[in-house]
Amino acid sequence: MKTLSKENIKFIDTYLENSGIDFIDIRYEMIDHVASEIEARIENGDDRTFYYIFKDYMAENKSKLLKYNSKYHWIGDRLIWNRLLKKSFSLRGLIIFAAIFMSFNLIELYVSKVYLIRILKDAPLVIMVIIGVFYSTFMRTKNEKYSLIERMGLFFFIVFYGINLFFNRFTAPMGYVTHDLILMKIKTTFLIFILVLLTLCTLEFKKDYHLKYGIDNS
Amino acid sequence: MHKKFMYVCLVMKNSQLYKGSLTTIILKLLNENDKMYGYEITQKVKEITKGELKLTEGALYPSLHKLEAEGLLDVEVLKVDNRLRKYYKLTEQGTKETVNKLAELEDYIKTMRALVNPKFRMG
Repeated sequence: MKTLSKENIKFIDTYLENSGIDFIDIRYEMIDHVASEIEARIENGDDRTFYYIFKDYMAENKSKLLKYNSKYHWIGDRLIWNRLLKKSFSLRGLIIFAAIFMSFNLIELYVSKVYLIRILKDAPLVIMVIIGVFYSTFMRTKNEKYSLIERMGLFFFIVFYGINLFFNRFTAPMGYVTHDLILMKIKTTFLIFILVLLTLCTLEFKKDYHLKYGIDNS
Repeated sequence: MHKKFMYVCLVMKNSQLYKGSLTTIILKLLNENDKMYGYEITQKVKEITKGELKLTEGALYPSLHKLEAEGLLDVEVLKVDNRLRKYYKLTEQGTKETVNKLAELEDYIKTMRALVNPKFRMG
């Protein structure tokens, strides 16, 4: 059977990327599907050049391919939620939560109340920035975007605002910001806890991608 | 009769019947073949149904990813013909689920046969 050249595959890849299929793990599968179909058409006697066959195929199937791309987000999101929930209610999750909460009690012994409030307010954002910078600098693989990993940031913002909204009902019911230390500690613990879990999930997904697609871990 | 009825179910391209059976079709094919990739599955279904049932990319791949997310399928990526190819195979849990899904489908077919053809008695 005639197989497509590297240039043909690169052409399909670029076309799909320009069509809005950003995530490389989804694109890999689409490239293989499109290439297999074009090869089958050539095998069945279509003697036109690659570009004509490709153009025809895309005219017939582009909308179906894009539909697949949009459906994938929901499946990926569900996978992340499930992983997150599983981690939250595991023994390790409970230990992490308790450790974060206890560390604030420990800090309280050494710093003033004003300083502790400052720490409780700023800690999640500072940790998020540190993780973000560390990930972008040392862990992101070239310019390749992997679907589950790229959704993590969105998840954190959803959970971040969810937790803030929930706790603000208790800490600032009339628009007045209270400095109830227990509530602040619980809220900050939840935010850092979610950050830690998302980071652990990201590392796991990255390891999975490394095993599946052989991506560079450096 | 049984095979004929199943065939009728599959060719009803736009019905909910077909949508609900897609997962079972995928699991059944993977149960019969060690590992398969997406395009291969579409071609196999086309071949078995003599072109009556066409799995679209928009239906097949989300189902495959859903089954993968549920832990029923395992994935292996190999470099084939200048590109990467994602192969799917059943996990242990997936093999068990295939048995359940096929039993469910058979029960459903029996029930439907009894409804469509009242002379048929449910066993």
